[in-house]
Amino acid sequence: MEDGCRAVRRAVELARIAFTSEELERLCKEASRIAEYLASVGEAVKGLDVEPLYHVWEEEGGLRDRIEDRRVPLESFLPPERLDGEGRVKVPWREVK
Amino acid sequence: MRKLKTAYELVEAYRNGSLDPVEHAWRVIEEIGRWEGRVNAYITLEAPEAIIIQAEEARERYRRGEHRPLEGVLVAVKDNISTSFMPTTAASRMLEKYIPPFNATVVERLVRAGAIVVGKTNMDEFAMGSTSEFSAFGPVRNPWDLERVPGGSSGGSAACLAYGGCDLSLGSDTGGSIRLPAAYTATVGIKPTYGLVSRYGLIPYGNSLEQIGPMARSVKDAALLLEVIGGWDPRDSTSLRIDPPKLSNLEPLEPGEASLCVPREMVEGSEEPVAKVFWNLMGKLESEGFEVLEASLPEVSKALPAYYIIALAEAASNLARYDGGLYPREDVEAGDYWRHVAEARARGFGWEVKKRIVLGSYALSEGYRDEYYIAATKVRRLVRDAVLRLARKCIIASPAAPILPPRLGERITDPLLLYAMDVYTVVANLAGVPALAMPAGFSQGLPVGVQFMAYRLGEDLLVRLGLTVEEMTGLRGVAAGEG
Repeated sequence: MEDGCRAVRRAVELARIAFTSEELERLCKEASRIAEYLASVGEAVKGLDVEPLYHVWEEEGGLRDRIEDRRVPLESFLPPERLDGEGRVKVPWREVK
Repeated sequence: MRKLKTAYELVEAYRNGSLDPVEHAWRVIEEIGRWEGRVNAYITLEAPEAIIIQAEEARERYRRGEHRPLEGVLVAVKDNISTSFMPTTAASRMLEKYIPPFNATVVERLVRAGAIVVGKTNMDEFAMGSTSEFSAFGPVRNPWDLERVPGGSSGGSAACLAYGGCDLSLGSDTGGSIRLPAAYTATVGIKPTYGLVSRYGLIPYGNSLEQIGPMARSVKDAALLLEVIGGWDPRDSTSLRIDPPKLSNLEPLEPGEASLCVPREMVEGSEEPVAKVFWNLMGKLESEGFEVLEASLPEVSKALPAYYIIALAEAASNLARYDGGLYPREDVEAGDYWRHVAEARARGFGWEVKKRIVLGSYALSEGYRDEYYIAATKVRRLVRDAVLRLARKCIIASPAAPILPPRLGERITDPLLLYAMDVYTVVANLAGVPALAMPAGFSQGLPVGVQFMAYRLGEDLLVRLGLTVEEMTGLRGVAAGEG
């Protein structure tokens, strides 16, 4: 990781995780060392004409053509006061007073 | 060495009336009571009364001749596999009170096959680890040596098998998380072909790499469990459109039916005791008439960093859903939205998970994406193509892990040393091919495992070879502790 801790701090922002300054210091050390090691993959494909592979069975992957209709009944995980009796859910903070 | 009945033998004994499912259930409950305080293999255990009631129902079904394939067999389920009747925490504080409103497909299939779920097993948080020490519920210990780790991340599923706290178990394998624990506990684990087993209901870590798979005390048991959980599931778009595999009645592999090859890159870095046990087994196979060839897979030298980049990138994306809203935390005050999210994630996740999310975000971020993520996916293509080329010709053999089970705390202080434990196992996940880990022998009283990889959907070949190896080693049904 060329720019060390600055790049880690940027990634921390993207990751939306709060760290104390001591934790951040430890994270910088560990993450920089790991990132340096991981960057070695670039060498393996340098100058090679290789397409990325995102799915091992690329020729068979794809969206399903049929969606199973299996619903979880609302009453199995919501208390009765959250149900309006017509299959809809009451949102407490939207209730008209 | 202590030996326990395999699941297959249990079903036979229930069927012919020589063993009562209730009597066996009590025996397993007693084993759990004897070991669990020291091993910590389970996060949640079913109440003994509930297990016994189900065992009584199983007894009735046997009496009526209406038994199903796993009737009365006690199965432990890794705690990242959704169960509507027990909490599913993924060993994280983030999900400590979460009870899913649905069952994973594999759990539905288990229950339909008559299995009794005894509990949810301990693991590395969100399956991120190789030792089962990164759990919010404390580390798992290896029943063969309580000062050592059982491997991870499915360490609980392996440890409870090894001490007799269940008959079968389910694990998940993103980069070796079934095979490493199997190797370290003298049990058997299969990482199925990508897409053979439904991932519906598996709390995701690295979607393009992971599979749920069987763990057992014998190859035939693992095959039986894979037969039950495998096959197409319309709820998982990555599941292959194939019927459940037929694996439980196969014959051992005979010399001449297939040859084995050993890529030097997948043995050279092994500790001496591991290499010795591995080559000893290869020698036995050769003396039985099997052809064991030396091979080379230079592409695998970059498999480990490529695997970690892909896994971390997918993890960063998958774990973005834990924002303190959908899975709320009571200890975080409401307020500014982004601060709330960052606080909830800081308190809910453990250190290793946070580190991996940050690294994954880094690998996907502007300016670094090509250097890390795209480069890793290109290496993945090279590895997959090389593995498929070799696997067309032979079954690929290697040690399952380069080292003996480490002591607790020995590896987790150095992340690169920790990641290196997966060096032989990540290859199968990158390539999507099936891999079997099973006992090869013992060194210094500790289990040493062997790994076999086959061409895609070659699980039948692996099971047949596994049966042959099991006959040679005599390590079917072994368990830790005094007999």
